[in-house]
Amino acid sequence: MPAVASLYRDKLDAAGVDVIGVSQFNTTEAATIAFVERNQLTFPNVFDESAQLAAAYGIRGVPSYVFIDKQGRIAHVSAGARGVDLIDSWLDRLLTE
Amino acid sequence: MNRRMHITPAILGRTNNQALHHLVLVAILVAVCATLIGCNRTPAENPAGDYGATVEALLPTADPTAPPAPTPTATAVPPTDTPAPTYTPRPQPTYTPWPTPTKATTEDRQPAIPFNAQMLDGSEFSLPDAYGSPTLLAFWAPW
Repeated sequence: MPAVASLYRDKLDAAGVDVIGVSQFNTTEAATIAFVERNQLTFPNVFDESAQLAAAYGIRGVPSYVFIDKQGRIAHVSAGARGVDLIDSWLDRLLTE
Repeated sequence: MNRRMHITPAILGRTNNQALHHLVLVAILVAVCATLIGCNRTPAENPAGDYGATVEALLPTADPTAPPAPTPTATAVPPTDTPAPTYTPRPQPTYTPWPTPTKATTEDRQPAIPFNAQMLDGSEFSLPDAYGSPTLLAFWAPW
């Protein structure tokens, strides 16, 4: 997640990409806030205590990423640590569509 | 004419060296004969001359007057009520692989589930309001 935060600060924020962090799965809001501050996650984050968002999007583990295009459609779902390059390439593709 | 007849053994008529030589030969002959005779005799403990039988004879023998030793028998295990363990193979895990969106066209995309949420900083986020720009939902956990 720190890599995503770095990518957001360096590129995504200026490019107009909305990044929403969703924290859930056996954690607390206090632990989430502490992690956000410690790792300088400048994009908005939500604490999904009951994991409703994760269930709605079929997320079964972390980290997972859901890429939503400009029309509000799910373009891609990535589960597992795949590296920031995959995230960057997918968002570049969605920006140019 | 008193002539005395001197009868001497033949051996005495020989020189001392010859007599000694004869004595040594006789001694050797006696020793060889004694050795041969001794080897041909059987020991008193083994009149039959069978040394294997001698070893057996040294082993303890069973007393014919003693009562017969009990024959060891297997002890029967009493039956228990515990059923024999059975093995049921576990079902193999199944999974549904993720779709490959890189090969799908944009028309195949499903609409995202709209939601509203309050961020940790107190701001509000609405996914429908974000339409018009790409959005990344990053699911994570702080552990």
